[in-house]
Amino acid sequence: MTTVVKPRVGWGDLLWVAWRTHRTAILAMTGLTAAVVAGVFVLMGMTDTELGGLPAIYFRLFWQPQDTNLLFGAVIAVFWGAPLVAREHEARTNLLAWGQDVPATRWLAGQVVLLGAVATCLAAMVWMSEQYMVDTMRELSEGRTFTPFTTWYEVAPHLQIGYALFGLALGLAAGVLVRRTLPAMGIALVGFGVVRVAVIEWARPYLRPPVHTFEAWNADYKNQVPDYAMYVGSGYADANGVRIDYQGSWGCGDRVGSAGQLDCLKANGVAGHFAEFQPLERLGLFQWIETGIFVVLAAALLALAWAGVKRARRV
Amino acid sequence: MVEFRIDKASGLPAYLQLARQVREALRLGWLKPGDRLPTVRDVVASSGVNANTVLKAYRELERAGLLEARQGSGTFVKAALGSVDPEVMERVRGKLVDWVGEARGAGLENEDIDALVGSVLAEGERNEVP
Amino acid sequence: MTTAVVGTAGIAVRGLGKRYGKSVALEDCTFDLPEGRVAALVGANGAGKTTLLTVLSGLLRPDAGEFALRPDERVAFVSQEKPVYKHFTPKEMLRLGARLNLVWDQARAEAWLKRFDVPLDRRCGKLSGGQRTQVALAVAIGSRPTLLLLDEPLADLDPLARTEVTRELLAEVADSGTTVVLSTHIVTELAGVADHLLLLAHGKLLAGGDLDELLAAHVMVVGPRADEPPVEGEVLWDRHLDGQSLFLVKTPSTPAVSAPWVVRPVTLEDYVLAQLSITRKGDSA
Repeated sequence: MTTVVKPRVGWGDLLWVAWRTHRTAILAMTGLTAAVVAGVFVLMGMTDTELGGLPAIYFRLFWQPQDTNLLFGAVIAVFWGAPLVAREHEARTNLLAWGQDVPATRWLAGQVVLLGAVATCLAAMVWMSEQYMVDTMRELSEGRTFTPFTTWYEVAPHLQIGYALFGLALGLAAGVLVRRTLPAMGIALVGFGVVRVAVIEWARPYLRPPVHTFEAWNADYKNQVPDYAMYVGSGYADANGVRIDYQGSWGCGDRVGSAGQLDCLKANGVAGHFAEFQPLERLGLFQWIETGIFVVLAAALLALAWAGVKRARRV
Repeated sequence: MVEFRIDKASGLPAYLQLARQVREALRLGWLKPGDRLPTVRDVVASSGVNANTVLKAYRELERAGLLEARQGSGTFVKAALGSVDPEVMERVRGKLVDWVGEARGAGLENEDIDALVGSVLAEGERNEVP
Repeated sequence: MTTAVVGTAGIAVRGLGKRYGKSVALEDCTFDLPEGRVAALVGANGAGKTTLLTVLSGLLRPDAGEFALRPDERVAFVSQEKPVYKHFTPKEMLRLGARLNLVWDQARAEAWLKRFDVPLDRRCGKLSGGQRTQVALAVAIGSRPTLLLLDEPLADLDPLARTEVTRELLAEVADSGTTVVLSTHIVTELAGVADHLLLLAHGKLLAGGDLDELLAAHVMVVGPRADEPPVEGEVLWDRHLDGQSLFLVKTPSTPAVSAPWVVRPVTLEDYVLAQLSITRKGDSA
């Protein structure tokens, strides 16, 4: 007898299938990432005397460190995540792959584990290049370009990995839902951009309640937001430090001279300025919280995809 | 060894076609008592009929006492189908000659006679269905 | 879903139903298929053949009813698209089969590809439609299933290959005792191939059972033009030409008729066409 019987289909089998299926995509993406990373290293070395010895790439290409990972996550979402199941549906190979002795969910687990592991490694590579980039710039500019909550914020390995896994899961879920590769790619691209920007704009400043400060009117204006902190908000406040929004009906804008304006504002209850910010010490915490957000989003999208391939209502 | 052929357009069930071909082989002396019949797999592979059909045909012939299945070694011819007594043959033939004469007299052509004989034979076969 | 259904059947199907939006793909489908049978699933396009096979394969969830397979049943399903990965070679497709199945017979799978002259090292995308079909079948055969579901397995094959594939498939399942359900609309090639019939129309099972028994329970009565046949029994179908009438009659034994009437045995084609034309009439009524 030539029949081979095994007790179970193991991870080795699932990973082999995933590797053979995505070999080309994995090699292409690895090559591309390696090229970009190498390019960053090379360009960082080419300082520009006209720019006071700063790396040419930073100014000439308007290249920010976070651009690489925004692009990387989007590319993972579009070219790895979206086609993962959508292409199976288009070619009807889902009927082949899911009709063997492994349920679709285990097949999917093999695919996600392999692509997730490779994406994690590539994200780490991207992080290394970014870290090198900001380190070099900080050194050359003697700290002038050190803006931790913008340039530096995303340069953390766990955060990069979180973005990449989120991209993979988002593309995958889109593919499972729409079952066609091109629309899934579009949804993945737009979805990734929207979520990343939304988190930057609306979530990041409020990951912890901002520090609130108040300064009563004084002869000298005092900057309340410390260096390197993330500015969240500022404005007029009453004696208790509670925000007061300026009303046009007060008519203070018409008063001539700053003294007149000040009196007008005081007459309307404005006692001074408040400021809200996130101090530098919270940077590490914020990076971990944001990583958590993206990992949870990725897990939710994976669960959605898992439910979608499990004994479908249509195939 | 016998080679089986299935006429797919015939209304006769495939297992009856097989059984009939074994009977023919016995009658013509291609198969003799003690001969081994092709295995089910061989028949399936050579004639493209389903294994259950072959089994059914063999069982049919076993029940008729013509074949016997020996555990583990195959299916064998048990009894010969004797050729018909020449006297009886002659008598039947005579009747047929008369009948064909009558049919021709009624204006039936050879094809009509074939069709008629075929339909009567098919009826007979159908009645063999258990 | 596949909870216990009483019966000794290899497959026991009870009240299976499936709809896509408003259109009914399968409705109240109930039948038993004993183990080791080769069942032909016959019906017009859109009759629900693919839906039934996909549900039995476990890939599609039915809306109603249930079905039970043997507890240790291993199902292989070859869908009508005969899907293969285009960037895999046939050899790699077999490797995929070996990896994803608990039981695998490499020699059988390879022999199948050699038998049909499929090059092992050319990408599947460069193979002909017929060759891709052979690759999909080889993967199914290599996995040594106990239940083999084939959706239009012969559709992309030329007549010679069709005969050979049928023959080889039957030989494979004869060796292993595999139960087979194969859908087709080429009824003429089923005689001797299938021993069980499942006839579907508009998602409903019109007839099901042992093929020989079904056909033996009917006769075709042919004679001069008449409104009724000269025999007892339920007339399932009739057709009237200029000078001739045909009646498909359900009757337990062959009735005696006198000239010019004749009684012919019913072929599978007669039976299927008659059954299908009944449903068509029913629809227009």
